[in-house]
Amino acid sequence: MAASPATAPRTRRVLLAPLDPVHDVGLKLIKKQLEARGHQVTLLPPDLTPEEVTRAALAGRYDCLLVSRTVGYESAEILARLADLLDGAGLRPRMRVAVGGMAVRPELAAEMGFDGGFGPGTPPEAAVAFVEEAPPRHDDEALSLQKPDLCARYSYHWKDTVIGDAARELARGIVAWAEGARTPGSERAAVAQAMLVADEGERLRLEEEYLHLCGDEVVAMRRGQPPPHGRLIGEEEKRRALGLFARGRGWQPLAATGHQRLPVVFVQYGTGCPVMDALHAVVAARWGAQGTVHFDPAWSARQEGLPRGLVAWSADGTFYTPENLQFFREATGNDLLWQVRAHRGLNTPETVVWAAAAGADLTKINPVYGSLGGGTDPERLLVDAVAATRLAARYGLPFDVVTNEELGGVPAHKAIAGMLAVVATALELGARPILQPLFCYSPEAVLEGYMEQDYVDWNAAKVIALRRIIDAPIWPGAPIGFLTHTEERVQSAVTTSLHAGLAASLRVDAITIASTDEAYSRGPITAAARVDSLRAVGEAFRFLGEARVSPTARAEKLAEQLLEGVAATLRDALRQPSFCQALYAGVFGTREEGGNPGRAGKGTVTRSAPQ
Amino acid sequence: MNPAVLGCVGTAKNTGKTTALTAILGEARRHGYRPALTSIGYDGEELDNLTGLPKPRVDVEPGDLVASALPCLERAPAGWDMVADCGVATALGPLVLARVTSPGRVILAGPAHRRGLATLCRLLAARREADLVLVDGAFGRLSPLARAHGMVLSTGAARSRDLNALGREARAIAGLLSLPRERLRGLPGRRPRLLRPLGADEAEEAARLLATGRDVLVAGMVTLAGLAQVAHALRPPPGAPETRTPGGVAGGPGAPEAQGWGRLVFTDPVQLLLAGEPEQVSNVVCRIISRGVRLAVGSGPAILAVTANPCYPVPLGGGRFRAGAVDAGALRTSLEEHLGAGVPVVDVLRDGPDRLWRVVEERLLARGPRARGAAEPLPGTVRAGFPAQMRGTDPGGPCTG
Repeated sequence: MAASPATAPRTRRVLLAPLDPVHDVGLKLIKKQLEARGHQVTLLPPDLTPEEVTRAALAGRYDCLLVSRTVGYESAEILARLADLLDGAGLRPRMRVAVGGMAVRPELAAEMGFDGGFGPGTPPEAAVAFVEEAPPRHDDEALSLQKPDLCARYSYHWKDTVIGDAARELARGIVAWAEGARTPGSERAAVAQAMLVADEGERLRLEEEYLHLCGDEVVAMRRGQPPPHGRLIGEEEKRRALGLFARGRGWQPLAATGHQRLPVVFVQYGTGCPVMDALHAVVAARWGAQGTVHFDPAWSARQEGLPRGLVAWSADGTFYTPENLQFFREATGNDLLWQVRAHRGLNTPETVVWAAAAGADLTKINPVYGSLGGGTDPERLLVDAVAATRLAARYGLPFDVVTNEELGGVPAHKAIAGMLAVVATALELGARPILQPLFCYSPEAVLEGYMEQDYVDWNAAKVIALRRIIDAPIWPGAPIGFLTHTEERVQSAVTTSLHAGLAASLRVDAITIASTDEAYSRGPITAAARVDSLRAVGEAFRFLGEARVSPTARAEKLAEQLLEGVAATLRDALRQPSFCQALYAGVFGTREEGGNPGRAGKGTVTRSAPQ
Repeated sequence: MNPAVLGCVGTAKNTGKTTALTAILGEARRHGYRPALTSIGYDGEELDNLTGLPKPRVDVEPGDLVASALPCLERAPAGWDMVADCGVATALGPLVLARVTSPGRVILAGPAHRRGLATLCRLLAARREADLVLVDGAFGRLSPLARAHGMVLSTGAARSRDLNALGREARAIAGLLSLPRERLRGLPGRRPRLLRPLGADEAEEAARLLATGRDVLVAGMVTLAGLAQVAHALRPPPGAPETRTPGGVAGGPGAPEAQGWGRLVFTDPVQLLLAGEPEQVSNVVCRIISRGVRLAVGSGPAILAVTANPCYPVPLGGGRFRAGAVDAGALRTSLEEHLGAGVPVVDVLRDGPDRLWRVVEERLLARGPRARGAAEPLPGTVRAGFPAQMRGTDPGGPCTG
């Protein structure tokens, strides 16, 4: 399609010269695009000498010469000679020259005397931009990511009225049940909100109030005691660390896939060190990740209160301190979608406050998983989750609702039923939830043989079922392919990429991926392993394009089976005195199935006396 | 005062041009000169872009001026302050002039063409903050250095292990760089005819013009085939004496100008060096001269010295190399024998940087800005090239074709 007159660039005369013995398909593609934009293009025959190309360039008043050549040692000499001949012939002041080829990089192009160099994988648009003297974009130049709104396309309309009605009834019950209930966690969230707008004196008073609501270890740390497994990062160290991020931030697309709507790819971080986390996020962004998920330590999920200061932690996860969160945002910029999880521990509402204050885009709330698989008392977490959901709605933070209790063995239909009750509660409170079914080889799938035949049908069945229930965003997690990864890195990259391909094929909205050494290292993750996974996922997206993976008829049956199970579970829950009681009673997963109501925070819920 | 512009060029990769440049740089500082550095390619990186071989560092000191692509400077360990945007684009970004504030390594990615280098040199001249502009070459590329004042040629075993061939090639290059300078303002009534380019298609016309006494100025590309055709067209017919005078009257060899031939002038010797393998070009040039044509160049860099590098990379497969070396003494002897006393031969690592520096100081810096741009080449250097023409006698040396 030709450019419209209003946007048409100045017409250029362009000479294309394939210096290889055969025509280069790249130059033909470029010719097509240049002509479509109204430029006058001459494509020379292949295998000309540098002298012949120079003579052809002299014969016409060309603005640009684009040369293709597969570069080896001799090729570089030939190209350098061409650059010299063009210069010696007096052509360079008015004619810009670029080279493309297998081993070409901008550095090599500069060395050979060219104005531009295009390596393998460079889209024809880059050559067009060179010709039109559009702002130069180098191979390593990053883009600014336009952050997508994962929820924008969805109405949250309940398509399955039976399930929808049950979920909404449960939601109304949850909201009413939580009315007037408070916990140290919800009270700290209120103090944290006050701290955000307080002056210095008021903040000191609020700090004392906050400390009264904290556990002993957190109090000790807030009063200056070093963290038990880590250290505080000083101001000078922080300043120097931030200097590391002054350059090199930005984003590059994962794969060139035309106009296909791809899932947003998230990576998880939580090395314990906020500097390392930010570094990993920046690397991941440069290799195509569009979002990051912050993992906090299991230790802090069991503590009342959050430490403060810029803290490096040597065990799992990275602390949610306001300073750690602020550092991450400052170091990584504002390009990546950033999720701060608040779903499982004793600091759920407060985490939403600090996450929003630091500029997070998403959070994560699910009292069902957090209480049955995350170790927190159901009553405590349910009160906190309602408070956190109200905060998420106030701050405009969408959140996903995980179904990780599946990993412990809880059947998928029960986990999904719990998720839907939380989703309905979120909608009741004005929040924007995201469905997060697991793409994993769960204990249930092992026992029931759902994935013996393939890895497609069972995962697809979950998406099919959810799409029939509600019009809502879907973000399979987390990470996709969980429990299919082995310690072999190639296997790990392949299984991640295949699950990503399936997710893209199912047109879900986002995915979270593992690095290739996650199963191998059982802890520390290298940035290079993240790149491996991202590259593998990019290739899967490129491979599939607009094509789709086709599940077998069994996926349909499994989806129906899930729908029946979800409906039955919600009915069972409605029979309980409250949703909270349903959690204790095993409606959303019995102890035998792997649903273990946690004990952290038990007995900490207080209720206002009836008016 | 216009700074002296010195180009360091090599006959191939790994012949030691950057080593020569850094040696001159160090000595220039030591002797109180204010150097400015740039490259017509990409230099100073740790590993070669193509071969993966380690490359010599380019280390700068506070006060040095460096012209490089802005992204390269931004990644440099050395500290620097921006002096000016040169208004020249490179493949890696805008060319900027910077003053070094703390020592360290830099990557040089400078102007890729003549106009870019000329723009940079004008900027440096206007700012009067540099006495010596050192320009690193690339890949044996020469064209941007056509307007340099002096040139140091690096050659060695990385180019060839045939020491005799290295000597012949160095002599041919030195000879072409030492052709007489002629402004070609034209004698009254002898307006030169401009030819651009000079290839096989234009050779007959060039020969005809020369034969009719017209001066010919070649300003564009020159090809070896074109030169050979000129030589062929000026050849006397079978049975006739060796040279012809205008009008086809046969005459004897010698005193060519007396015979009324036009002059054949190239804007710079780099045109000839780009025409083909230096030895072949040199031979054809000699043939043209032997026909009686006065052949000259308008301007161009003087050759100051040839540096000899006996080391070369030996491929081991799989992208790995080991260092090999030819006999350093034999290499130097071969080059000296071929070049004669007019062009000093320096082994930078064995002789030390001061010997090379003395040559640069004596042959370039001591001459002053006016002499640097003089029409005639440096005394003595002509002996490496075409003494016959200068003396109006039969050429020897390189003219063996």
